[in-house]
This record gives sequence, C-alpha cells and structure tokens, in this order.
Amino acid sequence: MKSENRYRENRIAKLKRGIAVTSLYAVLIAVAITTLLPFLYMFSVSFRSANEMREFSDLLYLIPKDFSIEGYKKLFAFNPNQFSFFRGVANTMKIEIVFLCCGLWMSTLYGYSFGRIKFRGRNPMLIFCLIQVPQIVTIMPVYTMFSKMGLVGTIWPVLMGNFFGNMGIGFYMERYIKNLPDEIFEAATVDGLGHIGKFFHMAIPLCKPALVIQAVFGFMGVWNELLSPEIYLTNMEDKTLQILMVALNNAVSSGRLTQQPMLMAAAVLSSIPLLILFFSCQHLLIEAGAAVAIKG
Amino acid sequence: MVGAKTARIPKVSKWQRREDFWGWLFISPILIWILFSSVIPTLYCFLISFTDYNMLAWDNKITKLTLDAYKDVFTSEGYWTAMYNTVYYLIGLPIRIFAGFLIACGMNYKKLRGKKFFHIVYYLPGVSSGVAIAFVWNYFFNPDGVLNTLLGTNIAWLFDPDWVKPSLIIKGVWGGLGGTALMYYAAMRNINQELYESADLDGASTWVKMFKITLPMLKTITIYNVMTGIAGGLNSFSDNFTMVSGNSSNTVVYWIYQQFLGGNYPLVGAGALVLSIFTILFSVPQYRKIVKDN
Repeated sequence: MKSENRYRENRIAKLKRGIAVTSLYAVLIAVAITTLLPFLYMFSVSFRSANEMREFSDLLYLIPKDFSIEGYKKLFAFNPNQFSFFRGVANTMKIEIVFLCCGLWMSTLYGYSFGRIKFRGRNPMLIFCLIQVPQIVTIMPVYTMFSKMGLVGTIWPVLMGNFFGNMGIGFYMERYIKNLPDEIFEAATVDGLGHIGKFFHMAIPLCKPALVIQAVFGFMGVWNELLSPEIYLTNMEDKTLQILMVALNNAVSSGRLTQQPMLMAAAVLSSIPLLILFFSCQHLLIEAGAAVAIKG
Repeated sequence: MVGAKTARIPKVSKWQRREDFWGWLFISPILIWILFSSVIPTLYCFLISFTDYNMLAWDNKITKLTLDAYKDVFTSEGYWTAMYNTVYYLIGLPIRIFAGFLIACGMNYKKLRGKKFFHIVYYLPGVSSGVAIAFVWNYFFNPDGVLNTLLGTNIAWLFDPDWVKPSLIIKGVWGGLGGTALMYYAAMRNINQELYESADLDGASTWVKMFKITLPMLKTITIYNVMTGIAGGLNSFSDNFTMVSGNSSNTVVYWIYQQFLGGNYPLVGAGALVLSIFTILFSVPQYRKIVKDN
C-alpha cells in the first residue's frame, strides 16, 4: 500500500513537472518567434516582387511565392541624388573609423585614469563627466558654434564627437579596470612602469574582452546615430546610410505595399554588417556583456 | 606651533603629485570636450532662453530680456502634449521589466536546452540597424499590413492618433524585452549559489527563496533598468523621426527638435532646460551609487 501511494505521488509530481517544463518551453519559444518574426518578414518581403505584393491580400506567408530580386534591383537603380547604398556605407565607415581608431582608446584612457590613478579630485570629476545633459539641450548652441566656425555641412562636427570618445564607454572601462586584481598593477609599479606603461602594457591587454564589447556596441551606436548626422551632414555627398534610408522612406510613398520590397531590401542590406559583427563575437557579447552590465 | 602648522597644511607627497599630473593629463581631453559640447552650450541655452532671439527672423538680434519663452513653453499645447506622450510611453517600461524578469526566471531553469539559441535570438533586436527595424514595423503597422491581417482588425496603427502611441509602445517592448531578460538572467547567475544551498538546508520553499534571496539581489539591476529606461524614454527621438509623420505622438525631444528647425531658439532653450532637469533628477540615484562605490 505504502509503496503504491508513493508511486502515485511520484507520478503526480512528475506530471506537474512535465507540465511546468513544457509551458516554460512554450513561453520561451513564443517569445523567440515574436522576436524573430520581424526579421523573417524583412527577409521574406525583400524577395517579393511588387506584383506579388499587389496580388496577394493575405500577407502572412513567409516564403515568397515567386522569388524575385526586383526590390534589390530597384534599390540600386534608385536616383543616386536621393539614395545610394554604397556611398551611405562609405560615409558611415568614415565615422566608424574615427571611433574605432580614436574614440574607443580615448575612452579607455579615461577609464584607466578614473579607475587606477589616485589623483585628487577624481570623484567629483567622475560625477561631473557622468552628468549627461541630453543631446537635445546642447544641439542648438553646439550647432550655432559649429555654424559660426563654418563647419555645418561638413563631416567634422560628427567626427569630433567620436574623436574624443565618451564617458559611457569610459565608465564601463573604469568599472572593468577597477575590478582587475590590484596585485598586477602593484607588481608593475614595483617593476618601474609609469602610468603610460601600465596603460599600454597592463590595462589594454587585460581589457581585451571589454574592449571588444565596447568596440562592437560603439560601432552599432555610430551606425544607428540619427540626430547629429541629420543636422550637420546637409551635403548629399556626406550623408550616412541610416539618414539616407530615412530619406528613401520619405521619398517613396512608404504606405504603399508595392514599395515594401525595395525598402525591405535596404533594411536587409543595412542589417547585414551588424549581424556579421554580432555573430562573429556573440560568445563574448553574451558572456561578458551581460555580466559586466550588472556591475555598472 | 610648527607641528600645528604642518598638520594644517599637509605636505603633498611626490607620489601624489605625480598621480595628480597623470590623472588630470589623461582626462583633460574629455574635460575640454565636455566643456565645449555640454557646459558652455547648457549655459548658452539657459541665457538665450531669457531673450527674444529668433534665428530665422529678418533681423536676428536680441532686443530685450524676457520670460516669454518660458511662458510660451508652459502655455504651448504642443509642449504639454509632448510631455504627456513622453510619460505615456513609459507604460512600456514596467511591462518590459516584468516580462523580462519572468523570461529570465525561465531561462534560469538549469536543464533548459537550447540556451544558446534563446540567447542569440533575444539579443538580436538590440544589435540591429535601427532604421531597418523601423521599416519592418512600418510594414507591420501598415493598414494593409501584417498586424491587421493577423488580428483581423482594421486599425490605421501609425496614423490614428489613438493608436500611434500604443503602436510605438509595442515596438519599444519588442525591442527591449530580450535585452532586459538577458540582463536579469546574468544577474541571477551572479547570485551566490551558496545562499540557495543554505536556504535549501533550512527547508525554504521556492517562493520563500524567490522573495528572500532572488528579488533582493536583483534590486540593483532593477533600479538600473528603471532609471535608464526613464532617462531613455524622456529622450526618445528616433521613433518619431523614422516612423511617424503626425504631431500627435511627439515626444518632448522631437517637439524641441521641431522648434530648433523652426529657428525659435529661446523656446528650444526653455524646453530643453525643463527636460534636462527631469533627466538629471532621474539619474541622481545612479550618481549616488557611484559616489558610494568609490
């Protein structure tokens, strides 16, 4: 009797567990599908023809009925005075290079200074640097300043912001460098390394994972930047990809379904560099990215 | 006497002087940049908001000092609508945080298979091209688009003033959910497992462990999420810029941007200052934490 009872209890417990686990998977998969759907549609619609968009009122299917690259063709044949994919990418890359070659390292240097150099006044200075006035507050005076310098319409104002780096990355690096073991830096001091030496020989090699993360996220931030490129890059020749895409969206009557394949083609192409970047360092981003975010 | 004097003016060691030198040298670029890109502009904003300067006027000179800009801001219907909208968009924040937390709890299940798949998928919205995402949601929200077909409704999502805000909230929650979940998941993994083991020895139930261990340990990350969520929400701009054409969904930032394009600089100054006060207020707890940590 006793053993039979226990057997039944066991079975009920197992059943309960099974239901819980199944519903857990159901929820996680449902969220995953919801997250993926926009990407799947982006891809799918980009390979449909305008004809298909017109003819089929039921839009829910994912596999294009007649596979066509009409959207891509139309995108590349678009009036180059309004949209040019490769010029957009080239312009964005100019800003990216400045960020990757200067801004990132400058920010790391700030992080090192705040995290490892015990200079007087570093706490108030850190707070001062971290108080972020919203960009919209400063945009008008900064615009006036740049326009007095004759730099509006050139690429310089946008480059400058990325040249000096920012305290968002600086603060992240500060946390990271602060959490490195003290002994390493003390040993370096004993060996006679100054701060420049410690920065280049200790901080940078030890920060590699954090640097990769910030490089990737910084790259994406620059890629997606809208406000300052929109304001300063008035010259058609200088506009970044994202700004050109907004212009493209405004140029075609985007409400029309027949225009969607072309717009989605632009969306797919503009996502590919970021996706490649993400997939090539996803192990780092997923492991370290979330872990350090908590400490901040 | 001599002793008292040296106590009052402590001699700065050579080491300390060297630290001062390198520290200030290394941070000088950002200080200079902040001075020119934030401090002076904010002061300028503050000063010009008390004048009647108009960039686009025929004779753009300051003729008098006045509080008109503030009067205009506070009596302008556009500004208050924008304020209301900005607060309205914050509805998405608790939804995102709560749902993200639940998903993280699910992912914390030890025997979960395909963890890597979920990780990558949940990460995706955060690492995509912003305008591309806006394009897809434009397509979803199209009156003849996917969402209406799927739900069997006939809503002009982005054109109907009543629906445009919920639409943008849906998009926002979609975009932020996975990242929030992953952050919570990482935070949960960082909790010391010994706490749970000793709780198990005491015979604590799952719920007790949840309320006594997990939730308190997640306080920091929740505060972080709420604060950055509010500050980010107050400063949201891109959805209006890329997706919506009407004024009914304006955020404060977008309203200010419109005034900026219109050349009404005192109004920009006044509006922006009011906004920045709110933003900085919401960041204060974070600054306090930084001070405490250091």
